[in-house]
Parts: sequence; structure tokens; C-alpha cells
Amino acid sequence: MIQMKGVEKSYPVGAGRTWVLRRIDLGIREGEFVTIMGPSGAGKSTLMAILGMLDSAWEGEYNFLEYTVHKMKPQQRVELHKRFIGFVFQQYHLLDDLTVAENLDLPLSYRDLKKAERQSIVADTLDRFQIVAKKDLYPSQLSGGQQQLVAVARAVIGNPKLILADEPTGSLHSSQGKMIMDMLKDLNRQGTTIIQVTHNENWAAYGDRVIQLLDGWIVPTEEKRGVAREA
Amino acid sequence: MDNLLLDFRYALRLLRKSPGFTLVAVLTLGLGIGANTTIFTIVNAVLLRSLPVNDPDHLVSVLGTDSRNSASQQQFMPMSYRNYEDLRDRNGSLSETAAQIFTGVNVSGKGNPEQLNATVVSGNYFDALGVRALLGTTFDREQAKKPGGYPVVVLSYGLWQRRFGADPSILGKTLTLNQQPYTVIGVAPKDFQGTFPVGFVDLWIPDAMHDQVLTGVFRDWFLQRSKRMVSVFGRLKQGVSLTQAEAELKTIAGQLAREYPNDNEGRSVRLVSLSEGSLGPARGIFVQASAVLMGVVGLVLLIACANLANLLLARSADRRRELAVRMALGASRSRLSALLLYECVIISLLGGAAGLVIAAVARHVLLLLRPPFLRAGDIDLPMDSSVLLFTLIVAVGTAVLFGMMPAWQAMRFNLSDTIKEGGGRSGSAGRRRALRNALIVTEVALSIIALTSAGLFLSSLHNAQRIDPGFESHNLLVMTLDLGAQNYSRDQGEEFHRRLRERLAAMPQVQGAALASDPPLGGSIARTVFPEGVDVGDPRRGKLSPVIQVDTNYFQTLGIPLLRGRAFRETDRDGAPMVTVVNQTFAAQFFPGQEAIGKHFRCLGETWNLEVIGITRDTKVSSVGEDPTPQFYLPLLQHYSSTFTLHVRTAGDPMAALPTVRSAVQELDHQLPQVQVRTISELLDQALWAARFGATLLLVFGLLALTLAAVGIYGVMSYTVEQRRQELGIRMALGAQKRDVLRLVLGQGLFLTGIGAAIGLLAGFMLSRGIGALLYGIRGLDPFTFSTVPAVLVGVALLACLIPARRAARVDPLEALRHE
Repeated sequence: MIQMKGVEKSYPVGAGRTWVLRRIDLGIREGEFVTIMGPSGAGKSTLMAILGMLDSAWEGEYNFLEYTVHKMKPQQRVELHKRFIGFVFQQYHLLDDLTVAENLDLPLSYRDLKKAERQSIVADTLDRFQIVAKKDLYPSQLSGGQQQLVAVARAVIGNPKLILADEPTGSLHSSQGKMIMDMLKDLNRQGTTIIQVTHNENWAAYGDRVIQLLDGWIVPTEEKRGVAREA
Repeated sequence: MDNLLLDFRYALRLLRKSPGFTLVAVLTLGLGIGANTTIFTIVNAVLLRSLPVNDPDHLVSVLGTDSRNSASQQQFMPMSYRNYEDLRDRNGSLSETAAQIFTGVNVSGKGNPEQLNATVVSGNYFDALGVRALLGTTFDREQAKKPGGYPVVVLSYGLWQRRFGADPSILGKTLTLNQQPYTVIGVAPKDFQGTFPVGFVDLWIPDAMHDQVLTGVFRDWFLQRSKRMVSVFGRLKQGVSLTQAEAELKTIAGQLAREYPNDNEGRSVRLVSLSEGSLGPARGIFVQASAVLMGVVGLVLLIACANLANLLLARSADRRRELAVRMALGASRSRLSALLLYECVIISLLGGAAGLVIAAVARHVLLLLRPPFLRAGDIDLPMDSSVLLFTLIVAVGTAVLFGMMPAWQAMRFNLSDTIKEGGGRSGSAGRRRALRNALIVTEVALSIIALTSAGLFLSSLHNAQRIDPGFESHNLLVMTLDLGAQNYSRDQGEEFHRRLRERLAAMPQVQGAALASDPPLGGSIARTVFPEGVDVGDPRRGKLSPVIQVDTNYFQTLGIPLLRGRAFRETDRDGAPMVTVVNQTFAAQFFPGQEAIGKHFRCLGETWNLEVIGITRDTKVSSVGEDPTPQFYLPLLQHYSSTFTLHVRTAGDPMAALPTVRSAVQELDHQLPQVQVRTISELLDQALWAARFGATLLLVFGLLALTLAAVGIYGVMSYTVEQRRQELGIRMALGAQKRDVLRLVLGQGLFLTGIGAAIGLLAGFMLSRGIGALLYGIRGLDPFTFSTVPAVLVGVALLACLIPARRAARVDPLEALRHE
């Protein structure tokens, strides 16, 4: 599903450059649940942004499904992102002024679906995540766990092939964190590829394998369960 | 469409969630748009609105020209009735050629005697305009050909309402005008004001009745070919252009000049659109004044936009996280830009609505401030479709203007960084600060220009008020009486004059009384004058000069100093040598380098010469701002005028003496309307109305601009202090004192103000050169304006900066650093 080769990102600083990612070679198969770990500043979030096509200022090769991302124009990358990728953020990033239902509707509204169709998908999703009773509440009226649940629901509502979860439990206490991780695991079982960033070993264990990042480099690490190998 | 509604609803919800921001934004914009709509309402009513007549684009004014007089004087001349008849009958370019002359008529019988504004018109007047009566009918052109045989009137809607209580059975009733019965045959439509955008016509009378309805010289001169008295207009035939019609009418005018060389030598015609011709020379002044006012309210709107842009810039920083999330969820930049723009459009539309409310209120105030010679109802300032469209265009235009830059700024973020940081920081903070500073400089510059305009017009008004009118203006009362309209013969009129003077002389409150054909500053008839020795047959040598007939007490009563020679005496009457008194400009222009006393001159069309017996100081003839005008006086006893103005110099307050003076007139003739009863102070006020009106409006708009700029400066400085909290904390932790912080913040504010003020003053100086023609006594730099305006603005800016600066000085360094 994902093939990265020699992906690098850097910022000019004075006469030199500061490297955020160095020579990233990475392969992820469809249906995998991959965990990215590493200390702060290792480049995890930057790698997620590149994977999710939120960042287009990098060098190297990136193939996503049958698409050659590194040769695509920014607008084409946005379209790809819209079709195949869902995001879950640490800070939930729900829009405060929209209700739960409206937050769920938001990504659909950017996919030019008709209103009736959108309403039907939103209703299904609310039902699937058992948050029908919360549909007219605003984010500020929900607990952190509930907010992240809505954020996950929003990430999957467009039926993405890949979910990128950047510290999805980082702002939650453990019971809420477990609920979210179980939810992600369920989605993975249903066929969605998931890449998560976490500092928590327990949550990392939900994944099939772990990729360690340090100072922008991938650190060779032991495979977990041997389900997949780097290409 | 769904998405559009969705985003629009969201924008609405956001605005509802920030009522403070929304209120300030809508009010700011409402004031800006309201000011623009208000001024546009006036411009629309006077300059842009089509006359309520059929196909107004094909109507043209036929103006007289005269190569014997200077260009400025001949721009909007009427023509003689005889020439009008010939032009009408000989031309093939105009499907209708109509004429009109304005006069006062005394109405008596039921109700109070009063003088009405009548238009004496050719029989085809209403047909030419394509106007049908609201009630009854208009004039029958065949019947209107019988001299004295068609005593009918068409009432204006206003008169019908005012004097007859909208009586539906008014048709066929009789109205006594100038002691003669006239039958009402029609009532004109409500919005029809004749050929004028501003109406004061009470009724229309067919010109067949000119001998009955005109008085004095107007009656005597009406059919004289040399006397230009009627305004002519016509309707272009289909397919004939104005230029073609003008060429043909000029040819006919040339024929008339050859056929009647004594009357028409040097005279021709020119054609302009009726809308241009009907306002006459006032149009040019009005266009210029409108441009200044529209310019200044435009500046107010720009300042309002700059304020809003500042508010939105601050808001856009707060919305970066939301926009980044939306983008991460698949929103395109164009969709996000549209989302931001919806918010601006909603603010603009609400601002437009607020502006309309403000303009509607201001409209009533403007109507109260109307010129004294206009009655309520004479002028309408309709909020018609043009005004609404203008407001809509301005509102939408401002949305783009104040929304574009913040929207563009809001979209300049790094998506992954913003998502990661939760929108708390931004690499573009420096750019936004630079933009905010640029907006402040712009606001200050614009408000300096607006204030400079106000200052210049205030200075101009001050100068105008100090202009010496040439006569003593304290305790002087005037009223106009038309004995001709009461059918007085000359003997009866002169007896009336004598008895009136006697009665007034017996009153203790009255120090002096004088009669003259025209009131001060009221203008007068102008005659073409040929000085002694000049060939009367040479058309280029004559010059127009206003003339006024006065009695023997006139110069003394008005306090006009006689510089040389003598004033008129009782002996200067019929049978005695024809004499005249001239003003000093007349003497200098017609007899340069010579002693004018004893010299003679002649008026066009007359057989007698006038001998100059005295020279007076100049007085203002038509307006206080006019250049010295050559004027000559004739003795009333030699040149009787049935219409005259009574001038009464009182010992004390002239209004206190008014009832006694009124009684004296009424005792002589209780049916005689007393018209334009005013003190000279009121007349001077009236003469300065335009200057005062302009200065008042500009002052209001200048202060509005200043207030908005002050709010803008305050807003930006407050925001800047908030943004620099940590920096200020560090500075204070490193030893900066409160006064250092105060100086830092004030210095920044005043630096920006200074740059803006310098730019604004430069633009203001250029403006003052451009509008010099509208100003009294201001040449080049006006010291009052160019010293006061920057001082006021810097003072206000200082105050606007002081509150944020004091807040900055109170920053607790520990708290500021902990906050970070």
C-alpha cells in the first residue's frame, strides 16, 4: 500500500539545514496496524503528515496504492488524501462551533456528496459508534474520550483505506485510551490500514509492528509477530 | 448549493457566537455605508434621477449665447420669446419646442393671500414633456394660442394638497391670481416638479395669459426680441442627435441675427441635455461639491474597512486551527476562502442594512437642513431603487475590500505545523504585524485627508462669514411686495410707495426705510451696457451688468457709502435728465483710468443715455463669495418697478418691529401678500447656506473618520500589547521601568501615526489646490487647517495609544513569563 524510498525533509537554518527526516525507506501493506514510536523531535508527526499528504515539501519517492505521490501536484495529492485517508489527532481537533453530527458531516461535505446521502452516512456512523444520543451536542459538552470517539468516527466516515492516528490517546486517561485503541483495532480487523504514533508501550502493542524513529532516521527494530516485513 | 448553504450557515453561527465582534463590525461598516448612502441620496435626487417625464433622454435645453458677453456669463442664458417662436416654427430637429418663464403670482380670495411660484408655459409644455395630469387635463395647445383668452391653471400636487386639502372636486373651481379668475383644469402628478429635480413650482399657467400674469418689466419686455426671458427646451425627433439639432438651431439663430441685427447681433444658441440645462450654472458647483462629499465619505468607508480588516486579521489568527483541521479533512483552499468570505458578506449585508437605517434617519435631518428658500415637500430625497442598488454594491464591494487581505492571510499557514501546534503559533505573525501597521498608517492618512477637507470648508465658511457684503447688515428687515400682481397702475403704485414711507417714518422703531426693485444678495436683472463713445452697433463692446432701481433713501438706509458724486434726489424723476449711480467696479471697468462722474452709457435697446452722478462702494449682488461685480443703480422715480423690496432699518431687534411694519403694509392693502419677509442676517445666512451645509457635513464626516481611526489605532495597539506580553515581561524582568514600556508602546503608535499624518497632509495639500474653486478666501496652504488637523489627530492617536500603553506598563513580568 505504501512504499517510501529515500524520503527526506529539512529546513534551511542559516547557511545550513536542519534535517527532520533522513533517507526514510518504508513499506506498509494493506491491512497492517503499524505503530511509530520515538522521542520528541524524532520526526514522527512529520512522517505522519507526509504519509497523510498534508505536507508536500519533501524529497524522495512515495508510492501510495497505485499512485506515484512524489510526481503528483499538490491538488492531486489533496484529492488522494480526501479519497483514501482519515486522520485522528491527539487534540481531537473537533470544531467547537459544530455539533457532533455536523463534525461528522464535515469531511463528507468536502467530498461533494448530496445532502441526503451525507445524512444517511452520518446516521449510520452515529449508530455504529453508539453516539446517536450525542449527535446534537457540541464538543465542549463531551468528555475527552467521547470527543476522541467522535474524532475517530469522523476519520472513518469517509470509509478511508488508511487511518493515521497521531497520539490518539495522548490526551486521554487510560480507560478512555483503551476504548479508543479497541475501536482502532476493530477498524483494523475490518480491513482498514492503521498507522499510529504513540509513546505508550501498551498502545503500541495493539499494532502488528513498531517503527522506531530517532533524529529523523528509522532505527532497525525487531519485527512484531512477523506479520509483515519492511520491503 | 448544499455546501454553500452549509458554509453560509456556519458563518452565520460564528457571527452569532461573537456578538461583540459582530456588533462592532456591523456598526463600523453601517456608519461607513450610511455616510455614503446619505450623500448618494442627495446626488441621486439632484443629479442622477431621471425627470418623471416621458423619455427624458431625448429632452434638450436650448440655451442662449451672446458673443458680446464673457464666456462665464453666457453659459446658461435664456432667450427672447420672439426668438423662441421663430426657433420653434423653423426647426425640423425637435418634435416639440416649449418655453417657460418663472414668476410669482398673488393668490387671493379664500385662504390667506400669498405669493405662489408660477411657471408660465407654452401650450405644448406638458405635451413636450409627455406628462399627463393626475386629475383633469393639461393645456389645450390650440386654446393656448388666444392671447388673454385661456385663463386656466394646472396645480402642482403639493399646492393641491397644501392649499386645497387634496379636494377631489377641485377641477372647474376658480382661483384668483393677480386679481383675475383662473379655472383649475388639472392637477399634476405627485412627483412632477416641472423640468427641475428640486421643485418649488406651485402651478402652471399658459403663456397666452402672459399679459395678465406677468408684472412690471417682465410684462413690458415679454414680447421684446432683445429681452431674454424664457427658458426653452425641446424634444429631439427620433434619429436626430443633439449635435445635429444644435447645428440646425444655430443656423436658424444666425438667420435671426441677420433679420433682427439690433436685437440679435452676436446671439446664438447651444444645446445641452435638459438634466444639465435645468440646473444651470449651479450644476457645475453641485457636481464639484458632490465629488468632494462623495470623496470624503469614501474615505470614511475605507477607514471603516481598514478597521474591519484589522479585526478580521486578529480573528484569522484565532481561526488557523479550525482552517487547518478543515483542510486536513479535505477542504480545498478555495472552499476555505469562500467560507471566510461568507462571513464578510454577511457582515457587509448587515452593515448595508444598518447603513440604510442610518441614511434614512440622516435623510430626515438633511431635509430639515434644506435651503431656506425650499419648503418642506419641495425637495424629495427618495430611497429609491438606485439608492438601494448603490448600497448593495457598496456593501458587497466593501466585503471584498476588507475581507480579501485577512482571508489571504488566514490561508497562509503550514498545515502540519498548525495541526501539530493547535494553531497557537504562526510563522506569519510578523507579516500580519506589518499588515496591521500598514492599515494604521492608511487609516491615519485617510482621516487626515477627511479632516483636512472639513478644516478647509470650515475655514472657508469662517472667511465667508467675515466677507463684508458692502452694506450695514445689522437691524435691517426686508420684505418683497408685488403691486403689479394687484393690478396697481404706476400712479397708484407710487402713491403706495409714498404712503408706506410716510407711515414707516412715523414709527419710533424705524430708523429708516427704503424701496428697491430687488433685495440684497437676491441678484437682479442684467442689462447689456455700452459706455459712452462705444459703437452700440458693435456687438462685442457691450457687457452685461446687473441693475437695480432704488429710491432716494436707499444708500443711506442700507449704509452703502457714496464714494464720489451724489445719491438720487426727489428731483430725479420723469422729465429730468436720466441719471445713474454706479459702483466702483462698474466705474473701473467701463471708464478705466477716467473720472466716471459725468460720463454716459446706454443700455441695449434703449434710446436714452444715462449720466453717472455718483459712485458707491461695491456690494455683493448675488452671493457673498462672488468677485466684485459691476452694478448700476437707477432712480425708482424714473424707472418704476411694480415689484419692490421694502428695506427697514430698525432701532433694535428687527423681528420686534416686524408686526408693526406688517400692519403698516396691511393697512394700505390687506390683500397684498408680504413675501420673503426676512432680516438681513437671515438673508446672509441663506446666502451662506451651501457653505455652511457643506462645512457641517464635512465636519460630521471628518469627525466620524477621526473616531473610526482612533478606534482602529486603539484596537491595533491593544492587540499588539497582548501579542507582546511575553516580550514586555522579559524586558521588565531585565530591568525596564514602567515609563520605558509606556514610551515603547506610545512611541510605536505615534511613529505609525506620524507616517500616516505626513502622507495624509501631503494628499490634503493637493486636495486643497483641487477644490480651491469651492472655497472662500483660501489660496494655497490654510494655516488653520494644516496646523489644527495634525495636532488634533496626533492628540487623539496619543489618547488611543495611552490605554494599551498603560496596560502594557502594568504587565507583571512573572505572570507574563509563566503564561508563556
